[in-house]
Amino acid sequence: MESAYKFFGGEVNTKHPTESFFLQLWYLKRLGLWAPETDNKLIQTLYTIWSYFYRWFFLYLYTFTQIMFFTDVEDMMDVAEGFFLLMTQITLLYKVEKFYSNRHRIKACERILRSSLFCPQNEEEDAVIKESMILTFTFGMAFLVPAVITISSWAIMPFFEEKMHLPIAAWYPYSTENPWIFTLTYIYQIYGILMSASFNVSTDTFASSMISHANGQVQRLGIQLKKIGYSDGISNKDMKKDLKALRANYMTRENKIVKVDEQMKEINKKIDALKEKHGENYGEVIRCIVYHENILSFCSEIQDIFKGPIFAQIMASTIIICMTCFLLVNQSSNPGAAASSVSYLLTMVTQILLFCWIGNEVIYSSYRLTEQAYFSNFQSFDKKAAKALILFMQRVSKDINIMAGMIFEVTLSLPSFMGIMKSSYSYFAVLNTVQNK
Amino acid sequence: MQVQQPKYTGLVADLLPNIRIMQAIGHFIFRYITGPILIRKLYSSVTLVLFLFQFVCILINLGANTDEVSELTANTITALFFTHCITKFIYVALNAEGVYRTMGIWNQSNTHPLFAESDARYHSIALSKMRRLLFLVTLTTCMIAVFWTTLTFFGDSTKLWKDKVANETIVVDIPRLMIKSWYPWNSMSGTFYYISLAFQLYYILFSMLQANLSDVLFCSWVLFCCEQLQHLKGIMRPLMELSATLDTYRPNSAALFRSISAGSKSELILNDEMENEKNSNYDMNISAIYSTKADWGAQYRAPTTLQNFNGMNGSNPNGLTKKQELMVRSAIKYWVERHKHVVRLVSAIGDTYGLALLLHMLTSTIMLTLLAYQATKIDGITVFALGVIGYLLYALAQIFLFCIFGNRLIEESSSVMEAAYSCHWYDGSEEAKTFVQIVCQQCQKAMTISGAKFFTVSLDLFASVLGACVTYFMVLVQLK
Repeated sequence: MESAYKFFGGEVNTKHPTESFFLQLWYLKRLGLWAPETDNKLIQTLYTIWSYFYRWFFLYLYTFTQIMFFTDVEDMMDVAEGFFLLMTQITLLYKVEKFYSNRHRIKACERILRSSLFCPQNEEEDAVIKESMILTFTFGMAFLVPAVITISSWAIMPFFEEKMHLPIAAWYPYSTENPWIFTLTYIYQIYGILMSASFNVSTDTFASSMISHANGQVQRLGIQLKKIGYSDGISNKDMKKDLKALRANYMTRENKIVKVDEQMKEINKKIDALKEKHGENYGEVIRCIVYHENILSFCSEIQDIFKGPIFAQIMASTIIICMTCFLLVNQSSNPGAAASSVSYLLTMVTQILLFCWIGNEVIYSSYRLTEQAYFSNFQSFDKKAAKALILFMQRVSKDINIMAGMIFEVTLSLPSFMGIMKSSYSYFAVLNTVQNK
Repeated sequence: MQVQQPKYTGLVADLLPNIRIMQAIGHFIFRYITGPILIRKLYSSVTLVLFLFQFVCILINLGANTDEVSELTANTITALFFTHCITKFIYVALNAEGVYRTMGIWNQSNTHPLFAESDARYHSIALSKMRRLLFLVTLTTCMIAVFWTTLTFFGDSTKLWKDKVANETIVVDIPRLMIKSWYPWNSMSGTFYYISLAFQLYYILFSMLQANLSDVLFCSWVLFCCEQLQHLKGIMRPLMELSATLDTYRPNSAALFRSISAGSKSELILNDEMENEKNSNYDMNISAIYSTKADWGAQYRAPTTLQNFNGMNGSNPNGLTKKQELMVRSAIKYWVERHKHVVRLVSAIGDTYGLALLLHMLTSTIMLTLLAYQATKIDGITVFALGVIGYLLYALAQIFLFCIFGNRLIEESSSVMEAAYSCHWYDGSEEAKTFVQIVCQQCQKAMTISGAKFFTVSLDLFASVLGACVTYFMVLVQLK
């Protein structure tokens, strides 16, 4: 996976973790969802106009034509056909609007990931952050590849049928008999669906990649916890070497000595004061606690921003999976249509699986925090440090659950994924029975 | 010239019979041996090729008989059954490094003179249980192979074949072999029949042994961890009493320094002997546990108390000597280090074998569903019925084996908290109380083995599998 990452132009530099979002950002910038960081008012305004235009023409108008399709449906089959893409579109509209309205908060989260507090300090932590970065890329590809396959199969399908008809079920105020008009509409449809897929891929995988970086940070916390209490007896020489290494970390950032940022300075000052007063171990435990607090607030911010869209996606995917299965089973045997339905199914399942899988990873990483705190040299702690550690262990005994949903909340984990699949299957079974009656 | 047998220590020594049998039946484990590795590699590769050949033959037979539903189901069940064996074989081959790493985590452990007896006792309990488990599983597998072979010679050796021309099902004769399989030679009768028979017997025995013995290896590891936790629980109370001697006056503190373990029957070592012991062995034990002064330096607020050891010490109401105090403080450190060691071993076991368990569960789920379907067609004590019941019991027994050990680990690790609480911690020193608090906090979360983070290996898993199986059976019976 790492070689694929580098092939696509990514940089595996753990000091710049947000570089791993290059795939998603490439799309987001062009789709009008990620404004450039300038102070130039003109560019900002132009960008805003561009994003509105893009969304209106390719998303809203597109979806409108699809909704109008329902004005003349005949039977369940038609409904299923029109519905299964429409669901994705409507969910997409909701997701994109949420993303756009939250774009400042999302940018703030991305800045948090670049802060000094979240920066790896040694090789062990580097490995963990690198894993998150490669996972970010993998998510993007894992979603993109089935999506591209599906769209290409839809695009090619009309050519294999006797009567050419548009790949997407939609209504147009004009007749599409004329070959030129047909071609133009066809291009509009295919480009529209490509844009929808890009919106989908970039926003969804952005969310899951944020969670994956949070996972990396939790693992980093675990590594730091294991080391508390073992630095006793380090001679001054070793400490100086560590400090030098620390400075070397920052020196390589764009070849300038970039200082630690304000937040980190504050934290360092506070911890040093505590160490003076209560001892080295106490200071280290408090440092881990402060870091944990920051991770928790990052996770809850991500959860707050994305819980609506993720839940909407899960709901839509459940219905879509059942509709697609229904179509697959009941459609006249057309191998092209069957193949495209299968790849669409795969895309939908992958979408939910990504979220549930990374949520599961976070649960397991946070589960291990108690154990990793236990691996510190707590026998050597004095009472204050031990008490602090106990309070911390009490807190981390509750896992970090990423939840999705507004009133009715679903924890993102593999058991809930199995539950979603099961409910999808039961809806499909009911629908099938109704159809075959 | 006799080659010196290398001495294996720790887990490897305990599991040596298991490893040896696994190596004998062809697993790709090439460490812990003396002699040429090349021959063993050759042997394992040949075994792999033979097994894959037979498995492919079974699949070809499956593919050739897809028309008739009952034949299809029966052949699929057989194919899935042997998928377990191939999967475990290939898994151990690919993950041999993980196995070595897990074994290597416990090649040496810390010791403490006061608790050595308890350690040895639980270690020997673990050893005997592991041997018993290995013996039972090997015996059962051999018996199953014999049973299967015997069953083949009862009943009709036929299969159902859908004649497409006449569009009806006819009965066709097939060779009287244990597994319905295609062969590139005609195995109906003659020498080829006996060759096929012998080959199938070898295949059944060896592949079942392979699958089961790798599960036994996993269960032995878990068993070892459980017994270590029992040992830790057992020494909790003496530990507390020892630490109490540091702070509170105890009339019989001298007696505590005899070789202490719960319920031990060993010789009592006089306190004087302990004091006069100046041999390096004793010192080395302690220094192996303690390496820095900082370990106990933090406890003392007034440094002068360290120097004065003549007679009654102000901060020590029982008049313990320096050596005895050192032993007490090192006892807690021993406990914690041993516990951390066990936690490390459990996570290594989970990392090494978790994926194999996940694959096992996936295959078993499908197989049990199909078996439930087959079970609805039983209409009397026939060869078919015995076969289906045999498959069912075997599959469920395999799952039960690792579930029960996983469950025991969960129970043992969560009961450490209760043991820590119930050992009169209020008598202990301040240091001991902090230690109990942290241990309780950690042990609230039971140590679990997870199947690659998908599920936890426990009896709940077994219950859900069994429940699902019964549900499918009921539903299918209704549908008939």
